[in-house]
Amino acid sequence: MKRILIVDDSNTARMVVRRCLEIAGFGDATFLEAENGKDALTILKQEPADLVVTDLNMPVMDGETFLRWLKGSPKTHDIPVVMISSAGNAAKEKQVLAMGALAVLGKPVSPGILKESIGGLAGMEEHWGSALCAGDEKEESR
Amino acid sequence: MNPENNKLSEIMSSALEETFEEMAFLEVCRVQVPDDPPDEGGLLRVSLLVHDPFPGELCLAAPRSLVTEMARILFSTEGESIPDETLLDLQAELLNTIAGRVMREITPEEATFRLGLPETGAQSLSDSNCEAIKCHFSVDEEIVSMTVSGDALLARAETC
Repeated sequence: MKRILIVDDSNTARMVVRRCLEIAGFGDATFLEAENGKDALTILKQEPADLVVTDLNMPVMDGETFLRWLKGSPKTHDIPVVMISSAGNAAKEKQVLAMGALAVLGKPVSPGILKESIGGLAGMEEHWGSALCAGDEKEESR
Repeated sequence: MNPENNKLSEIMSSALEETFEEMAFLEVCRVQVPDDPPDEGGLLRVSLLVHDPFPGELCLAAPRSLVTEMARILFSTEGESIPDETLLDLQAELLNTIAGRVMREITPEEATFRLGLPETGAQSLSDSNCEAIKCHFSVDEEIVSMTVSGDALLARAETC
């Protein structure tokens, strides 16, 4: 069972991301949620995650600082991180990609775009193979 | 400032239409100033500051009944009452997404922009005497309005 951590200060945004992931074929994953980067780091200390999907603009600890902490720790360095933001533009996108983010997506996200960004991760096809195929079927039947 | 032929009002309209359609599958239509303005008491208002590079503020006002309907669509709930906290969170997320789209359009590619966090119930710049552009939209037969204020933000929109 894969574990996905969704980080956003908005309950609505977390729900939208979760629903997109479910439609994209990750419905059998265990979803963890945090309201900001600090809470997310606390969760990751206790429970590992296979993927993190995080907002950029959050109170307490924003997505960029969270990403820096995550990539700076040997324990969490390898966790793929997808950033989602309303405040992303080319310059910001380049910056967080250089810091190690897998992808930067604009809001609102869609199941197809999320799947595309996660599916592009090396080894993810093997990791999530059945989920990605199931996602294709679900998307086709929508 | 006349909103009718203003570049910013076009950008605002496009951002609002795309966001409402993508997030809640609701069609949006720009309208003139309504003859019968909605009851202020029934409106939910959320505002958000733009810090850089063109300081200003965006404010979204929508009828509670419309936001409730959107929440029912998004959260797949029927019959249950939806707490104000959830409605305002949804509206804040809508405004956050709209603001990002507006700022992406008007910010030079090499520059970054910085948005504040959405606030509810705060005194808005658009309530003061500073210059503002206000646009109205019809969504599911209800009127939603969006206001942009702040000299730097308005000036940038004139030249982009």
